[in-house]
Amino acid sequence: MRKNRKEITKEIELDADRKRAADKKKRRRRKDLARAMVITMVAACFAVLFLMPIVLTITNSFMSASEISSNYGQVFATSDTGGKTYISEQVNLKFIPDMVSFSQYITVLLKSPEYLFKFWNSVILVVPIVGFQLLAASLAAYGFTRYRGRIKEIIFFVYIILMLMPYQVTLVPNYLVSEWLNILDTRWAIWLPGIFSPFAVFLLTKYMRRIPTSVMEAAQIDGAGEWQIFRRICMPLCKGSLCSVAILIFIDYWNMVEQPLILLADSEAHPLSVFLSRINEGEVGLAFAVATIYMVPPILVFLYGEDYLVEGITYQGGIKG
Amino acid sequence: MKIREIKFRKIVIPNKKADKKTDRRTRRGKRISWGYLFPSLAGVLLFFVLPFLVVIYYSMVDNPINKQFVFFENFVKVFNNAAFQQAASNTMKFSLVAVPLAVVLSLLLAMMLESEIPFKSQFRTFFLSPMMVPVASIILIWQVLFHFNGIVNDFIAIFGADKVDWIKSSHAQVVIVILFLWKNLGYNMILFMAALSSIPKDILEVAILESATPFQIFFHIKLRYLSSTILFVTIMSLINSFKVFREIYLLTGNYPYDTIYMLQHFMNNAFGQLDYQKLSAAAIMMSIVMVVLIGILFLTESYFGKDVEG
Amino acid sequence: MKLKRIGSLIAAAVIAAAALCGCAGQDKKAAKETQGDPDEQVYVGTYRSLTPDEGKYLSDAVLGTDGSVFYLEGNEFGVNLFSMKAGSGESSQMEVALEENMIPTNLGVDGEGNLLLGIMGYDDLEAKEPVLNRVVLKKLSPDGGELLSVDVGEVFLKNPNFYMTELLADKEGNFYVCTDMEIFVLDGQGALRGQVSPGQYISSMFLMRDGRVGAAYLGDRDFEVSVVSPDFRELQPVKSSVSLAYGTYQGSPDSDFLYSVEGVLYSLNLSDEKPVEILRWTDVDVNASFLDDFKILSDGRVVALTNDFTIGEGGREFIELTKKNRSEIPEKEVLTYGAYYLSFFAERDITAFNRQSEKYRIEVKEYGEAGDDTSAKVDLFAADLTGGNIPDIIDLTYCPLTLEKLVSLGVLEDLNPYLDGDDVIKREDYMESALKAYEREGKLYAMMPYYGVDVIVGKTSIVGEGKSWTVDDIMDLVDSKGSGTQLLPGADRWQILYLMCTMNQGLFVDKESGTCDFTGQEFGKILEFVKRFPAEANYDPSLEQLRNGEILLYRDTVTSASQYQMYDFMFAEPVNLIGYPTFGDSGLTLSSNGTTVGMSASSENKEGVWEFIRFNVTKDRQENVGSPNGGFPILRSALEKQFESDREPVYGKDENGAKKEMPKSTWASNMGSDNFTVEVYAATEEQTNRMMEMIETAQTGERMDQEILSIIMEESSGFFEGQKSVENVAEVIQNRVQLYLNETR
Repeated sequence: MRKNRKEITKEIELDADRKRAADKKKRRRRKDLARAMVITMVAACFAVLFLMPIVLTITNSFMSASEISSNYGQVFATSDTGGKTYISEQVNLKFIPDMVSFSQYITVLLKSPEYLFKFWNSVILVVPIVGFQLLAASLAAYGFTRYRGRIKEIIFFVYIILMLMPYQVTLVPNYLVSEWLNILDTRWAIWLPGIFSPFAVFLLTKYMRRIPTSVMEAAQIDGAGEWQIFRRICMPLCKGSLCSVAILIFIDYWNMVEQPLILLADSEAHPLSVFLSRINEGEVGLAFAVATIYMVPPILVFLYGEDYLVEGITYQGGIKG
Repeated sequence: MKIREIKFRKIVIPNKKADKKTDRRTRRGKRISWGYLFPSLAGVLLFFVLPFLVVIYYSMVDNPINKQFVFFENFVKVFNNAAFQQAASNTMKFSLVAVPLAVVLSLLLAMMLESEIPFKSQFRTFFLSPMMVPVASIILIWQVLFHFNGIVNDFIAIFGADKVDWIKSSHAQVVIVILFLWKNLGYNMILFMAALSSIPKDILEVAILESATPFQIFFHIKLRYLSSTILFVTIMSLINSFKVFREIYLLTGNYPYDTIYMLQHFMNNAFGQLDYQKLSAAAIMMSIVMVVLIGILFLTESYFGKDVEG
Repeated sequence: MKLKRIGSLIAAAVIAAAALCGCAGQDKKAAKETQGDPDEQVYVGTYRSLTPDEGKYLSDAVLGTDGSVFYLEGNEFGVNLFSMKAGSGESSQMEVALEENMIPTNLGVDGEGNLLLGIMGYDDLEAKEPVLNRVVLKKLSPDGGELLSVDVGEVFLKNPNFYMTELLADKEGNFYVCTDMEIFVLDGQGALRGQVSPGQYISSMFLMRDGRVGAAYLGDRDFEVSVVSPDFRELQPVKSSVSLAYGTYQGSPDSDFLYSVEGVLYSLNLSDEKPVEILRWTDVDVNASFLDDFKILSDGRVVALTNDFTIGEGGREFIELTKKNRSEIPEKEVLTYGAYYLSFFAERDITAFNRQSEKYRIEVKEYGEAGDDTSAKVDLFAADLTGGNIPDIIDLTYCPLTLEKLVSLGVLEDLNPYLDGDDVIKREDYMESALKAYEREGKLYAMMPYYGVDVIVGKTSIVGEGKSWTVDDIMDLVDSKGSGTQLLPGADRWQILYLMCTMNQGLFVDKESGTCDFTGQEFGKILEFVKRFPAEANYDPSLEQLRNGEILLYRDTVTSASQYQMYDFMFAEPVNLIGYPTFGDSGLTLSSNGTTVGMSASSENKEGVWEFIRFNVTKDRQENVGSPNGGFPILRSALEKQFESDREPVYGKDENGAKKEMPKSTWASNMGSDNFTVEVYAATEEQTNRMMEMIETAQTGERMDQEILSIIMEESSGFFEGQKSVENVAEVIQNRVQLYLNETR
């Protein structure tokens, strides 16, 4: 068959189009490469800024006390009357210690076991909170997800408002309530409010509601009971978000300061975060080493859960709710 | 989609028995779902709602020791207090600047990491790292950075700029916004990355084939799909903008330069002074604003959510 | 990814294990004892004063193993040994064969209940400075029979200033003699077997159950407890899982040793993980800071010796504690005493009150521990206040909430009705200015039993004879002197700033309208003035500088009329005790130096609280119980009596036997590294009158608000370091203080 003119011109045009497209692609690839480089550079700059405090904390923990005080002693110097003298002649920010010294670590780990005790206090306070808060919150999130109604929506809204309350507001009433429940000065006074904090409920509900209702309805029609739906469908689907919520609450409670101060009168039961929040001149050297040790659990939790964190959210993100 | 099918069936086949059965089942399910809610509800009532009622009580007495009922006197007093007004306006300003910035910047970061660049997962980890730094280290380092003779001033001196007293002047607002962004961008970014990767690929490909510009793709497709995540990130940022107060407080003390005097300073100082009535009245006023704000966010979310689904 | 995960898991496990190991020995908090169980065994005390007769003194006392006390009582003719039985309290003199010019100075016991005597011999006791020429150790049986007497002069007389602090003997008959920093071990024949020293002052030496001898002392870093090694050559730290803190340590027949730390008596076996708590001293009305010696007897009784050094000779007490069922003890109404820090005075006054009161018993509630910072303590106190657990008695001396704050919260009860309605004490008997110190708007909130006067001292030739002066006076004074003149010894800028500002809040702050003005000229002038002084304190001022005018003023709290003599000595010229600079008013203020307490308005036992407040200001207490670092009593008659006795000269004889005024006491103080002692003679009428006038005219004047002061200090450093202008600094101060004022309105 002979092609008529029109067809031929069309083919030629198409050919040219293809060529042009290929050219464009090539050009784009080159452009892409340049763009990727620029973006990588920008990201790298950001990364440096973001990482600097951690790196500083770690490297400075290997400085001797005298080196630290000569570098920033005056920033943290306090005058006789307790007023901070915040202006000093010279402040050096140093990344690399003049001489690597383990003296801070020796002091923290061997000479004064109180830091280890406090570290252990932190663990004892935080781990149960994370575990049980996840449990209570995933149940509640399921409750909020299934059979949504006006009342539940209102309660959920109340949860959000309560979650936004700054700690100063609830601290005194919390003290009164724990006194009333007779749990003041025991770890329960920290554990219980922690376990029932609305924060995890909010997050998990947000995630769980992204699971299509159809999935659950289908299971229900297949004869699955609520517990099975919760256990066999919701929980596995929420694994990632559970993990990310766990990381968030772990970090949150790992850094708590005010609650133990008020609710645990016995300073021996205070976590390390309380010590870290009140460093004075003499202990600045130690502070970096303690902070470094203190960062280890969050970093571990984070490294362990990071992939879940991303995976988890990514999966749910795929489904709209 | 299944819900609709079921409803459809319900209408077409009016089987009274089956209807009752599903009804009973639904009612039973509802009851059970309340059961799941119960432990948390009980705990929240005891440890959060009850204390909040105590707060309401405190807001209406003359002081926490005498406990003379004065009704709304405290609200009037606090509302007219110059320090409270300053704090409220500062907090509002901070939230209005910091929260949108946190949303936009973290979205940009997320899109940056979306593109084809090496070391993606490393960058992701780096951006998340500020979450793990204990408050005390943050304060130490921030003080070193923004000290009058600190690194930032040394740095800007290279460009011939004058020394700036960062923490003790109106520039402090910049410092705390940076602090807030530094701490929270990472997590927001993760949320956005998740949302971005969930945008159906075919839609994007079609758009590219139709020679849509990147800007068009972003504004017409991505933003549409991101809308619910944006609202979620906004709420999270709002929460975190209250949490960052602890750092601000440790960095600047009870009575900072007045431009960074936040509601939480007001409350914290009232707490230290045992003025719980002031603290409570301020807290309740703040929560009323919160209720309105979050309510609006919720309404917007449900509006946009429907839009995407439909 | 998987590798990373496994790696972090392993690391976490290792950390958890390490943390667990580190904490294995951690003590679990003991469950709180249930109160009020009628069958519970509690200690009940019998207190016997060992007050010697007029003209006599007690030089040493020790507890025997049977619970009796042995003590040395002396007068100008010699020293005698007495014993007092625990049960009956009867005392008897024990005859000790002593050669001439021999004086027993130290007592000790060995593990078998024998008594040890340390005896010093002198060449001639009548001489002006007798020379020590013999040291004898004796061992006596409990009934006084001499078992052993060895002359150990050979060992000790090498040091002409030798003196013993403690003495004991082990099972093998070795003597342990403790001097300040060393322990000498001698055998039964008096030969030196070894000598050890921790290089620190040894605070206790004690015999352990196994016969070893322990020593407790404050080491370089921590408090340490060590035992003398078997070869008597070194001190070996004891191994114990219990952390042994600063306190008093004593031997015990039933455990390795007893110790009293932070008001609690413990018994410890080194092999055990934790000590046994025997008792809390406040529960048995014993002041732990006075403890000298204690023992647990085989029948469970506890005996103790205390020495109240604030009373002088009458301060020693022999205390016997017997266990009784709670039901046998008459019940008393409990008053709680809330304190941030339990001061020495408070502890003393509370134990005294508890012992004499048949109706009330004060129990102390301390907020937070010594190391906690103020805000944590405030939070605890605040929680109690709002929770309705307000202590009946509130310590005001160390309370971080200001009196104004407490009053505005309605925490404190007005004491006026109690004072006016009292049938024992009368308002007009008390110093008006001292009452005013805790009076606000016509209501009285506390009566401070003792107080000092805060003064600035300067030569009359420099500060003039005025009764008050102004900020400008000080500036002019410094201007008229050459550069390099210091205002206060060893003062840095902060102290100068404090001096200039503390009494002058009214100049910059109008609390009524809630406004402040720091941008004015006056404040700038003060800052400019303060800038002239060095940033770093000169820590080594000398008396010479004070005398030659290089240092102009001295800041102090006057607690006795005889302090005049000290200032006269320091300045070597007549002095004027002037107050802080003000604007016309007197700059003198009174500060509490005793148990100053307020009554809780919500206390259910206000009568009891008043009884305690009254107890501290009754004639008997005011006249007889002083405070160790002085202080003026609030009761006018007691103050007059104090002045009277200050004016009373003491006479003695000089070398020629003529009557001569002798020093009443000595004041030891220092100025930088200049240590000096001043012999205090009778005060003059003029001095006591001036002191009375100072007390009477003292102001209740408000000191500058701490928060404002700390803002000023923090911000002004920018100006002092030359980095900012006065205007800049004043602007920031104005900004921050105004914020503070707005908030507190």
